[in-house]
Order: sequence, then C-alpha cells, then structure tokens
Amino acid sequence: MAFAAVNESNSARLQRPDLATDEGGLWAMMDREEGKLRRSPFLLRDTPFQTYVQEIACRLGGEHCPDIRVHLVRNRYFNAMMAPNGMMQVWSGLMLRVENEAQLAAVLGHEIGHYLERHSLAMLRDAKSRSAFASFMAVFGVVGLIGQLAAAGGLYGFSRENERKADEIGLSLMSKGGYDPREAATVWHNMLLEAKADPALDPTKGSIFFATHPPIEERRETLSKMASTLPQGQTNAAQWQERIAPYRLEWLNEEVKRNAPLQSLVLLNRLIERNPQQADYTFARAEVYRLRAKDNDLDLALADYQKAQSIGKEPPETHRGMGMIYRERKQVAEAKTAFSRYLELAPEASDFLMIKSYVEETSA
Amino acid sequence: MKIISTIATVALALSLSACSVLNISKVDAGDRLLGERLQIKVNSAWNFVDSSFVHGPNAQLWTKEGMAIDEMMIYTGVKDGEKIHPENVANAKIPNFQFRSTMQPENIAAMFEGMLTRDGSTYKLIRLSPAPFAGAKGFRIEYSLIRKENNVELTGIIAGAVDKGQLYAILYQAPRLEFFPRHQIQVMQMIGSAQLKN
Repeated sequence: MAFAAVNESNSARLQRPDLATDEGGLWAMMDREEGKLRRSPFLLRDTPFQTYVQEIACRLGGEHCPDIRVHLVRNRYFNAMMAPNGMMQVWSGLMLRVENEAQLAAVLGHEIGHYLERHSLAMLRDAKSRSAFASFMAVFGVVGLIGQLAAAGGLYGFSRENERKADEIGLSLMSKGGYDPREAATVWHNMLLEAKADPALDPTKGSIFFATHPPIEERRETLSKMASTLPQGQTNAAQWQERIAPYRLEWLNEEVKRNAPLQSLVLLNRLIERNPQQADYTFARAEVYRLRAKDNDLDLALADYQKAQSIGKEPPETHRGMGMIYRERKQVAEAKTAFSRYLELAPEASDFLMIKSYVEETSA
Repeated sequence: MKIISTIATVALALSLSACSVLNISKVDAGDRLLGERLQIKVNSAWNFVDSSFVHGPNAQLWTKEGMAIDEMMIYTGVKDGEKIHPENVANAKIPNFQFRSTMQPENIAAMFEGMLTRDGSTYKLIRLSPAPFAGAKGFRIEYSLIRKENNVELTGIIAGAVDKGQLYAILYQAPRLEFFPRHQIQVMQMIGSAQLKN
C-alpha cells in the first residue's frame, strides 16, 4: 500500500544537522526559541496532560518519539506546528475544537509528516527576503517581533505538494497508530463550517495550519477517499473529553471573548450536539448570544442558561448571565434571585462587588 | 491600534512609515478639557501621542515612559456603535469591538477584555467593582495582562462610566513590577479628578 511505503521511507531517526549548514543553523535557532517557549507564561504547565498528548504523538511518531517534544500553549486559535528540531506546539484553540484523540492525532500526524519529510528545509531555502524569512519563522510559532512582521507581511506556508505529502503521511501514521482515519476529514469539515459561517473572519486564512493550498474542500475530499481504503480504528472520544475537562470552561470563555459569534455558534452547536449533557457548552453558547445581543439573542441566551441549569453542574456564571438579562429587562425579582444565586456559588468571584451592587440596587 | 494589539502596532508602524514620523507633544500639568465634555486635572507632565488618524476623535493615547512601556487611553465620549480601537489593517480577520450604549459594566469589561486580547495576550480580571467616575455612576476594572509580544506581565486599570449614551473612560496599563506602581498614584488622582461638563 502507498501509505506503508511512505512511512517506511521515514523510519530512521533524523540526525542533528551540522551547525555549519543552513539546516543546522535553523535547528540552533529553533532550539533557542524552544528555550523561550519553555519559560513562556503561555505554556500550559500540566505534566500529566502534557504527557498524555506526548504519548499520542509518540503513538504516531514511533521511532521518532524521542525527537518529538510536545508543548501545550494557551492560545484560542486553532493551530499546531512542528519545528524542524522536533519542537511541536499544540494550541488550546485546537484542543477545544477536536472532539476526540483521533482528530488530534490527525493534526499531529500531519505535522509529524512535515517533520519527517524535512519540508522546512525546502521552505527555508525558498525564503530569501527578510519578510519571507519572518513569515517562515512564524510557521513554527516563533513569537515576538519577527512573528509580528510575519503577520503583517502575509503568511508563508508549505507548498501544495508538501501539504499533500504531509496529509498522506499523517493519515498513514494515525491509521498505524490505531486511530480511525476517517476523523482526519472530519477535522477539515468542521473547520470548513466555521470558515463559512463568517467569511470575513475566515480562520483558515489567518492560521498557518490552514494558510496553504490545496483548499480545504479538496483536502477534506482527498483525505476522505484515502481513509476509505484503510481499516477503521479508535476515536477515544471519552478519554479526550475527560482529559480536557479541567480546561474546558477556561477555553470556552476565551472563545466567547473572541467576539466572532457566527463562528463560535457553529463551533458550539457542534460541541453541544456531540456532548448534550455537558452544561459548559450550553452555557458558553448562552454567553455568545448575550454578548451579541441582537434581535432575539437575549431570548436564546436565556433559554440556554436555563437549559444549562437543567443539565446540572452548570458554571456559576450561568446565574450571573440570567441576572444580567433580567436586569436589562427590569425583571427585578428574577434578577435578584439569579444574582444572589451567583454570589452564593461564587463568593470569590472577581466581579462579586459589582454583582452585589446589582442585588442592593434591586433591594433599594 | 496602538494600545495593546501587537500586530496592530506593526500596522501602525507600517502606516507611519508611509507618511511621517509620529507626532508626540508634551502635556503640562493643569486642568485639561478632553473632547467636548471630559475634564481632568493633570498632575504632572505626560506625553500625548497624536494617533487621531487611527483612534478617531474620541480617544487619546498618552504615555509616561513611552508607548512600548506604558499606555493610557482616554475615551472622551465613544458613541453607540463606535469601535474602541482602530481597525487592524494588517489582519482584517481579527474581530473588532464596538461600544453599545446599552452595555452594562459586565459587558463593557468583556469588550475591553476582547480588545486587550486581540493579539493573543492573556487577560485576567482581578476585580470589577462599582465606582463613581466623573460624577456619574461608573465602574472600575482591575486586570493583569501577559503581553503576547514579549511575555511581559502588565497591570491595568480602567475607570469609566456611560453618560448620555457615551462611554467615558481612562485605561492605564504598565509593567507590573516597576512602572505601574511608579505611576499608579498619579493615574488614580487623574481618574479621581475627572468631571463631565454638561
């Protein structure tokens, strides 16, 4: 099978290139950036969780496992990237969006594919101008001024052929790792839905992960066809949901504050459909409606807050949200009840004094 | 935009490079009328950065130490539907944040949080509390921010109020360890001195 051939050709571990070469210089630069990343406050420092994701990467990377170092990064956008020296970043926006281990594996496998094929070297040699070099660096998540220049100057990406190759390798790796290869096309399908929800804010046009050709539709279809020839495997949805549970609400709040309601609603509708008994998702959708506050949004928000409450284990902010709507509608008694419940559930809340003033206002 | 958005800072720099140098002038101590209605007492010299071409007429950018270090945005009557920051010309896919006159303080806090994290910086609300501002019923937001650009931890405060459907506010943020404490008292005095002319 073609996929097996792809993987066998990459079975030998990559050797560190000579420092005197351009590739060696690139590795050294990435080593320095990795040092900065290790000290960054944006790094999610949770050893068990990091180990869990690392193990998924190792399940895909096989013999290359010792050379792959996964770093989990707090960033609300969908992205993962792997530098030529083996530094892999996985952003929280991606972890919020993938529904199971198999979908995460699809993305990690794709990035490992670029690593195994040393695609960055070809890109480095193509990045001759300073601005192109800045964009090149941004591909690996290098932040700071150089990354800003990349953002300002347009994104740089792998070639169409390299992306196809990485897709192929990624699919092969996830299949060999026992994951269901059909989930790879689902990742692209889900992102396509978000992209179409608000073309003005198309996340695929700003994410280095997506800022490439071929177009999403084409990749989704190709991956789907390739997956149909492979054996089905595990998705491990329950394991994934359990692992992200401690971070779910934090990541959802960051998504809500992004102020991209059309995309957020597509995302949350999907997550609610997959996890109807998870109150956090319903609460988050209510927040999106409340903050947008157009047409009948407040009615929709109120219905979702109530639904979250009926599901149970709702975030305390559910009651604050209801109180805010009642307050705006001058439903004084309902507002007081909701705010009081919030204060009872969240006595340490950062907005305790503000909400308390609303309760006092209703008593005046 | 200058304030906080790293990418927008680059955009600002790019746009500036095409026209002229940034115009910075000194603001002396004394009473100042900002916009049409906001009066404050300035207790020591500040630098006024003429950014009206990106911030519009209802926001001013001041700094003590230089824009790379500390920033004070003074909102002098943002109207319903107006953005509280300039467009990011370098990256139009980043959502904008508009003020709405019906916003409650919680929504205003969410709006500022969204604005401050447009570049991927990490925001933490420390306290949101009721506090009079310029003689009106207002709010105070205290927060910390880890700037994406350089991982520097900032402390920030926003004091403001909505009056006659317009937003009046002073936002000040600076590195937590040295610069915020250095200027905190002056900033608080300026906030305390704010008045709205009828």
